[in-house]
Amino acid sequence: MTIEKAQTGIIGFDELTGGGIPRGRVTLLAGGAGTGKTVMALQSLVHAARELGEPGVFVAFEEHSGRIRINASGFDWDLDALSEGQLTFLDFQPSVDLVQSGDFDLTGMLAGMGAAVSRMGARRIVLDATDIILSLLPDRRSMRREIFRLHEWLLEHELTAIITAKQLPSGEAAPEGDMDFMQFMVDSAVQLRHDLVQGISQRSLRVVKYRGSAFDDNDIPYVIGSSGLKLASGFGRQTAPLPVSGERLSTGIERLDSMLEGGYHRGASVLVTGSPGTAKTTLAGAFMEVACEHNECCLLVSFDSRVEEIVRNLASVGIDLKTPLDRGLLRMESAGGLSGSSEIQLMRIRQWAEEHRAGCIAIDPASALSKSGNELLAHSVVHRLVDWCKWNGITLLTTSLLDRAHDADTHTPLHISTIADTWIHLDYRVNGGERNRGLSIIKSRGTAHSNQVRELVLSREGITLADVYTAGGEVLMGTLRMERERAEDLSRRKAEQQHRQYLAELGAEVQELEQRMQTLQASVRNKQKQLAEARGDRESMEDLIRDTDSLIRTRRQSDRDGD
Amino acid sequence: MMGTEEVRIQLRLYVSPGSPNSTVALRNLETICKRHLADRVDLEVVDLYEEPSRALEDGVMMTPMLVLASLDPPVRIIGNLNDPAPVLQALEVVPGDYAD
Repeated sequence: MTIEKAQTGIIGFDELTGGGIPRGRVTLLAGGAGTGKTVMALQSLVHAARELGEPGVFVAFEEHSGRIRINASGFDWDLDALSEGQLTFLDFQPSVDLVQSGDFDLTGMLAGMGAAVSRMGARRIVLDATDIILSLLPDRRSMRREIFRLHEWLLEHELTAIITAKQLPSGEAAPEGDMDFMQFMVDSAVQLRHDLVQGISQRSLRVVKYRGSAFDDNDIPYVIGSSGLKLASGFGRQTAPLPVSGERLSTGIERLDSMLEGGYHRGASVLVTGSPGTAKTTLAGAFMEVACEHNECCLLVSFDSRVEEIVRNLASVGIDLKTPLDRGLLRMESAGGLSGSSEIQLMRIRQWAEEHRAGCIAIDPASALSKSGNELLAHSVVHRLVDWCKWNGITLLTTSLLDRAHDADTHTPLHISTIADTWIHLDYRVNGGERNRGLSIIKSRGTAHSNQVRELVLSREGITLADVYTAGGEVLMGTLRMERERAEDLSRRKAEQQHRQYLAELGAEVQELEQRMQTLQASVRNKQKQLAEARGDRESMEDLIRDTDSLIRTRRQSDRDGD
Repeated sequence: MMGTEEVRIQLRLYVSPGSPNSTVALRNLETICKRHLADRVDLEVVDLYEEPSRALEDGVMMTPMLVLASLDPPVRIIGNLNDPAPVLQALEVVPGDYAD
C-alpha cells in the first residue's frame, strides 16, 4: 500500500515530497518563532478548501483567530471569500486565570473539534501552536498521554493534519523531551529554520521524516512572499518548457550583432563581465532599448543605481530608456536598497518578471546577489534564475563585476560563466597613457562568433565598435589607434604626392627633350639648306667653267678636245 | 453564615465520559457539595460527547472543568477536583462538615 498524499499548494513543497503531506496522517511542523509555521499551515488549508474542495478546520491555541485572519489578509489568499463551510477557525486559547485542581485531559477540546469537523465534513485540520496546550499539562506522563490521545483522535477521524509546535533553535535542547515524543508519533515531520548569516535573514525548510515515502532531506531555502511560503527548489513547473529557439535578438549594437551572427539567441543567458566602468550597464541598456523597440516586454533590475540615474546616464550615450518606460514596455527596478537574502532577491525578480510578463531581463550586476554572507546561496540562486529563465524562454542578460582587470580567464564570482550561453568580456587596455574599452566574445554557444577584440566607443550618438589595430602582437585603441590611422593616412598621401611629383618630373623631361629635338631639327633643316645651297653653287660654277671652256675652244678652232 | 444560607450556588461541570478524570471529578464534586455546601447547590453536568458544540460555545478545552457560574466573573477550575480547596476558596466557604 502506498501512502496517499495531500497537496499543500505550497510552491516547491509538493515537488519536494512527491505530492504533499501524507493523507489521513499527521504532519508535525516544527520551528522557532517567526519561521512561518502558521503561514504554511494556513496556506495549505486555504489551498485545500479552495482548489481541492476539502474543507478544513484551523484550531488556534496561541493567537486569537481574529488576529490570525488579520495577519493573513497581507497575503493574496482572500480568506473572507471562503465560507464557514470551507474553512472554520476554532479558538482554544487557554484562559490565563484557570484554576487547577488535580489531573485533567484534553477530551473537551477533542469533543469541540469533533463537533466542528462533523458539522462541515472537514478533511483537513491544523492545530496551531500545540505546544501551548501541552505545556499546561502538569507532568510529562500526562503530556505524553494527551499527545497520544490527540494523535489517535486525528487518525480515527481520517483527517489530514498539520500540528505546529515551537522549537528552540538547534543546539538548545528543549527542557522537556515531549517534542521528540511527538516526532516519533507522527508520520511526517518538517522543520522550519530562520537563521541570520552575517546579518542577512535566511529561511530554510527541511523534511526530517516521512514514513513510507522518499523525500529530499536537504535544507531548502524558502521565502515568505505575497502568496505565502515559496520554496526555492522548484518553480511550480506545471507547464512544459518552451522549445529552444533559433531566433536572434539584436544586442542593440550593430557590429556586435554581426559578430554574433545576428545577436543573442532568444532564451539564452548572456553574461557580461568587466571591471567597474567598462560599460556593462550600457550594454545591458542597449539590449533593453532595442528589445523594447521590437515590442518586447523587458525588465531591468539594477543593484547599483536608481532608476532615474540609469535613464539619465544612458541617455548620455544615446540610449533612450525613457520612451519604453513611458510606453510601459520597460519595467525598471532598483533593488540595491532592498534588503534580504539572495533567495528573497530572486523571488522578487521572478515576481516582477511574472507581473510584467517580461521576455527579456537584465540584471545589473548579478554579482550583487553574492553580497554579505550569501556566497554559497548566491551561486545556486543565480543558477536557478538562469534555469527559470530558460524554462520560460526568457532572454537573460546578467552583468558581473570582475575585481581585476585583464582577468577574463579566471572565474566569475558566481561561476555564471559555465552556465552562460554567451559571455562577453569588457576590459580596459591601458596604452600610451589612456584607458580604452575593449570588447571580446569569450564564448557563444551555437554561434560561429568573431574572435576579434573590438574597441567599444561610446559617444552621444550611441555605441559603436571600432576595429582595432594589431601591432607587435598588441591591439591598439583610442589615441594610439587614431595616431596609427593618421600615420597611415599621411604616408598614403605622401606616396601619392611622390608619385605625382615623379610624373611631373618625367613630363618635364619629356618636354625638355622634345624642345631639344625641335631645336636640333631646326638646325638640321638649316644645315640641309646650307648644304643644298652649297651644292647648287658648285654646279652652276662647273656649268660656267664648261661653258667658258667650249667658248675658248670654239674661238681657237682647235681640232682636239681640250689642250 | 446566616445571610448566605439562602444564596444558591450555580455550578456547571463539563465532563467527557470515558475519561477517568471526568468520572473522578463527578464523584469528588458530589462529595464536596455534600460536605461543605449542603443543598445550596444547583449542579448542571454537561456531557461533551452528547453536546460537543457546548465545548466550542463555552470554550472548554480541558476536561473535566468546573465553572462556578454564580460568581462574577465566573471562576473556572480544571482537574479531577482531588483537592477541594480551590473550589472552597473561590466560593469563600469555610470548610465545614454538613454530613454529620
